[in-house]
Order: sequence, then structure tokens, then C-alpha cells
Amino acid sequence: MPAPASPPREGKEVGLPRTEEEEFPPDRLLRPLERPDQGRLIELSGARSSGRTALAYRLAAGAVACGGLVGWVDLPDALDPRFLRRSGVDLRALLWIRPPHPRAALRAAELLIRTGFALVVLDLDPADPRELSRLGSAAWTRLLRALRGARASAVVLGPERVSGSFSTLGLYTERRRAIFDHGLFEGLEGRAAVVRNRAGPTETACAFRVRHRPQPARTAGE
Amino acid sequence: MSRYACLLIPDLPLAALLRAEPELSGKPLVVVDDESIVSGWLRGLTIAQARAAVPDLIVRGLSSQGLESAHAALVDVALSATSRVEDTSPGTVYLDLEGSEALFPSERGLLTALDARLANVGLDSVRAGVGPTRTVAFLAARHDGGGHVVRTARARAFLAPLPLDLLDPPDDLWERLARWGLRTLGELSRIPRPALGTRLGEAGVALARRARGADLAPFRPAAPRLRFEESAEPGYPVVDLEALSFVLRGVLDRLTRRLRVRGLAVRELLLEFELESGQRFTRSVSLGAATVEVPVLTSLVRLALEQHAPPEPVERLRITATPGSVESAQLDLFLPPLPAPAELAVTVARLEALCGADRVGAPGVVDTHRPDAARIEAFASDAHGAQLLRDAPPPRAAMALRALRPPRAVRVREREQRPVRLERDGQTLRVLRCAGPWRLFGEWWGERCFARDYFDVELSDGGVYRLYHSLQDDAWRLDGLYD
Repeated sequence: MPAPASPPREGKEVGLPRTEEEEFPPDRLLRPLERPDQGRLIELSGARSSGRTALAYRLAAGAVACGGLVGWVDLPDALDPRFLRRSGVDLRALLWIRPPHPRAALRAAELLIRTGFALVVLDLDPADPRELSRLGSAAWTRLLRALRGARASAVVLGPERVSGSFSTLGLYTERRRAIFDHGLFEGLEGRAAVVRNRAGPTETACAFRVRHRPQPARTAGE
Repeated sequence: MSRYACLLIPDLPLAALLRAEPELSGKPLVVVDDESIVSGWLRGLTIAQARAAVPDLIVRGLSSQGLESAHAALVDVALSATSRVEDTSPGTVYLDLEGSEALFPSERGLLTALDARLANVGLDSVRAGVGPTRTVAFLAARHDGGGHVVRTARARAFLAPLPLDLLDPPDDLWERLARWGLRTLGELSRIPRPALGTRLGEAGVALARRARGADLAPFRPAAPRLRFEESAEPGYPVVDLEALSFVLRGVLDRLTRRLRVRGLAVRELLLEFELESGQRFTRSVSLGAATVEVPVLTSLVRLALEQHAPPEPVERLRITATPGSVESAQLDLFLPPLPAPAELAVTVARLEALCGADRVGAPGVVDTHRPDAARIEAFASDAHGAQLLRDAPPPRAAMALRALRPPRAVRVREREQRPVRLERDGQTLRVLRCAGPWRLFGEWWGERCFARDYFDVELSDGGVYRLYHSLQDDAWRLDGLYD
């Protein structure tokens, strides 16, 4: 059975950045992933339109920015290349795989990790929880072993946590509000909370905002 | 002063067979063609006669493709030392050594290097010699196991004691010379040319010129070939893929050894199978990055055949390689090492076998105003980390869209041309907030013409969706979820 996701009640919470140039708050929770020095299995779970996919895009962009290759195992066939590119991901560094079923998805993720991809995103969003539970612990054990051997990171994306105690870090996202301003949809404001953590970040929750039309990033010297 | 080397395979049928089946080395072995033995010391006998002499004799048929491949491997080794190679007859090549002095410490060193390269391509019984002319080089290769380096000043002394039969004179000429008591090249070369011409004609004069070490024709270098073919005839129909992989591995090994000696790698493979019924089955395997790694190539070929296996047992097979250059990647001190291009190509092939060829690749943005357009492109496995890093824009806190493919049809209740309520899968959802519409119209010149009004809607199920109203069929569809 998938573990119920519930945000922690206590702990330090980081507020929203005041300006665009400030750090994206969930980066602090996920910072160790940008330079993965050991195998990590991260679960990003949350409700609809809570920003979990945006966090995964952000992680992919970070991995590419560090010079790594990213594998995106897309069970629901939900990846949108335009939005991915808008997040700062160089599409040449991303291998997109659309597996036919969850077992093939896990197998594909394992193959990518063993090949040397720095980050593998495993999007299992619409998968039937019963089907996922039938995968058993062996599949997750194999995946984790591959991650440790390759010193890579994998992100499991879904509405609920599915890997149980195998995950290194679990983040649950919830939407605070959708920002509609002057007849335009401007973005989402959400909250990310650490629901499982073996080691790493000191903060346990943070607020964040993702924009529909992000401002162009400023380069040094501007 | 010109210097030439000669590479000579004394028994080409046997060398070709041992190259294809090295495990037979050291065993009593003959190659037959039309029931007649064409190799080794039993040459000319029938199989029955040979078996009477050697009971445990191993008999193999002559393979014309095997002979061609063995000769091509010989030419490849020659071309690895110099670009000026004369390809005269099967099993014999001449190398013009002019300009290659800088590549090898000495002519003896050249022979040692060629010997190692020949062994690497599976030709162990090649003889080599170096001399001031091609004839001297040929005789230096042929005499006493070969390996002689004949200086120009010493050529006459080297040739004088050699037996006449090394030049393979015609039978009638040989008999006449033997009757006269001429046994060596020195004895023949001492006879005055007019006397020889009167008695033996043009053939005798030509033989005497060769006995003095002269070449009868100018050196004609062949254009370097870039065609690499290897074949196998297992001798029985190969039924299953496992056994076929075993045969393929051997062929690929021979092919890559030839490419490696030329400093090349495999860019593409063409597999041709002759089936039991006589039909032909072909398969092409394209590599993301050129490689000479046999396990990698075997994996790719096997994966290709797993998807489209030969429909019948295979009698013969031939593999043709399109050569390419090995691309070396410059590693960066500050970046994580990327997977090797060949390894990446294997992974992509495995993923294609697992998920389907059209389901693996790099995401591509289509040049259109249609918002849901996306495509999957070939993954450039040779993309370099430093280049990617240099070109990569900084990460942004941008929203994601989860595409709904195909778009979900919904029934919409409108008020003042804006959606207020949606029905989907028997469920009614209220539109809490709505932005839009934005009219998009395009590709009117083709079948993919679209005319849509787009809305961003927050629904009562907690999601924010992209919704559009198609003006062409008056239908409403959800095509994405903002996340």
C-alpha cells in the first residue's frame, strides 16, 4: 500500500522569495541533488496542480546545468517539450522514454542509471496503485542498488508515495492558490514539505511560486 | 632508391579457413573444391585418398567469400603501413615503402609490425620480405619461410643460390632448363640474353630478367578500398537467435579487427542472410556513434534481430560495415563524465527494444503555433557535456504542463461565451476561475489545420487545466494540466 503523504507539523519553514532574483526555495530542500555524489531516490508527490512536475523540471534543468544527462521515463506520455525548455532544460541532454507499462518504466530507469545518466525522472502519475504494488520491493531494491553504483539520482513523480522506505527523500507538494491576475493565469503558489528524509536538508517545508511566463533569467553583470 | 615489401599468403584457402575457424589450428585439415583437395600437402588428391592417408582428417569446403575476406584483410594490413599498395593476385600484395621510413625504426621493424598486425586480423601464415624491387621482395618472402630484408648491394648475392622453381616457371620451360642443368637463379642469369632469346623465346628472357631481380611491369598502386565485408557459412541451418548471435560475434570480431588495423570504426552495419529456402533477408543497423567494440556491436545486432528476426533458418550470412571515424570526447575537469557514445547507443537500442523505436528519443519542439505539438527526435548520443553546459540556459522557476494525449473531450456549459461548468466521465466540475480566450488559428494550408479558442481554467477538482474550444468541430477538449 502506498504510504499516505502528510506534511510535517513542526520544523523550520522558508517563506516565499521577495524578488525574482532570490533563490527558488525548494532548491534548499533539494540542493544535494544538483550535484549527486551518491545514489538518491527522491519522491515528489502531491495533488493536481500543486507544482510537483515543475519541481521535477527544475531538477532536470539543474542536472543539465551541471553537465549531466537526464532520462525522463514518461509513463503517462505527459511531457511537454515547450514547457520543459522554458524551465531551462537543454532538450539535447534529455532522453525521453514512453514505456508501455510500469514494469517497463522501472526497467528503463534502471538501464539509464546503469548507463551513466546523472538524473532519471520516473513519472508514474496515472499508474494504478495496485499495479505498482505488484512490482514488489525487488524492483525498487534493484533501482536503488543501481543508483548507489552509479552515484546518480532518480525522481519518482506521482500523486502518492509508492517506493515506501526505499526513498531517500520524500517531498509532498500542495497548492495554496492559482494566481489569476487581470484576466491572466500567472502561475501557481504552493508549499513543499519534506515527508521523508534520511539525511540532508535542514528545512522541512517551504513555500514556492512557479510562473506561467517566467521572466528571462539575468546573467552575471546585468 | 625504391624499396618494396611483399606480403604473401602461401596457402590462401587454408589461411582463409583458419581465419574463420581459428579453433582448427594445428589439426589435420584440408579445403576441398569439387571433391578435390586445394590446400596443404595433400593438394590434388581426392577426399577418399586423403582419408586413407590421414584417418582423422577434417574436411571443409572452399568459400569464395572467405578467400575474398582473407585477401581483403591482407590488403588492409598493407594499407595500414603505406597508402601505395599493389594488389596483384589473391594472397599477394606489394607495398611501396617510399615515405614510410619515418613510421618504422627499420625495415626489420616494419616486418615485425606487419607480422603483429597480420596476426591481429587472423592471418598467421603470411610471409613477408623486403627488397629493392618487387621481384626481390617476392623472392625474399617466398624463400626459406620469408622474413628476409635484402639490401640493394646484396641483392645479386641473395638471388644467386635460390632455386628456379621459386619463380614458378611454366612446366615446359622448367623441364628444358632442368635438362640443361640450370637449377638456380644465378645460373640462369649468367646466360647471355641473345642466346636465351634464341632458344627459349620471350618467356625465357622474361624469366631471366626476373632471375636477376628485375620487375617486368611498373608499380600500379590500387585505390584504397573502404568496403569491409565478412561472411560466415556455418555449414548447417542456424535456427535460433542464440546460435546466430554466436556466429555473428565471430564475424563481427573479424570485421572490427580489420577496421581497427586501418584506424576506422563501424558507423553502420548491413546484415544479409541467405535463408534455407534460398531467399534473402537483410537488416540494417545504424549506430549512434562509430565503434569497434565487439560486445557493443553484438548487442546492437542482437537487439535489431530480436525485433525482426530472420523468418527461416539461416544458411549463410554476410555483414558489410560502413566505416566511420571514432570520435574522441574531451573530458572536462569540472564536469561529470558522460556515458561513452557507444554505450549510450546500446542503451538507446535496448530501450527501443523494450518500449518501441518510436517511443525513445530526445523531445523536440515543432515549429508551429499549435500548443500541443510535440515530437520525438533521434537522441544525439555524441552530445558533449561541456557544449551542453555552455549552451544550457539557467534553471527557472517555471510552471510545467502535463500534456493530456490525446486531448480529453468534455461537455461544457457556457455563459457569455466562457465555460462555467464541465462534464467529464459523468462528473460535473465547476469552473472556479477562467482566463481567456486566446484564439489560435494556423496550418490552414494542410490537413492539420486548426482554429481554437484557448482558456486556462481552475476547476473544482483542484486542477488548473488548459481547455480549448475547436471552432472546426465545435468540440471542447482538455489538453493539459498545469502543475
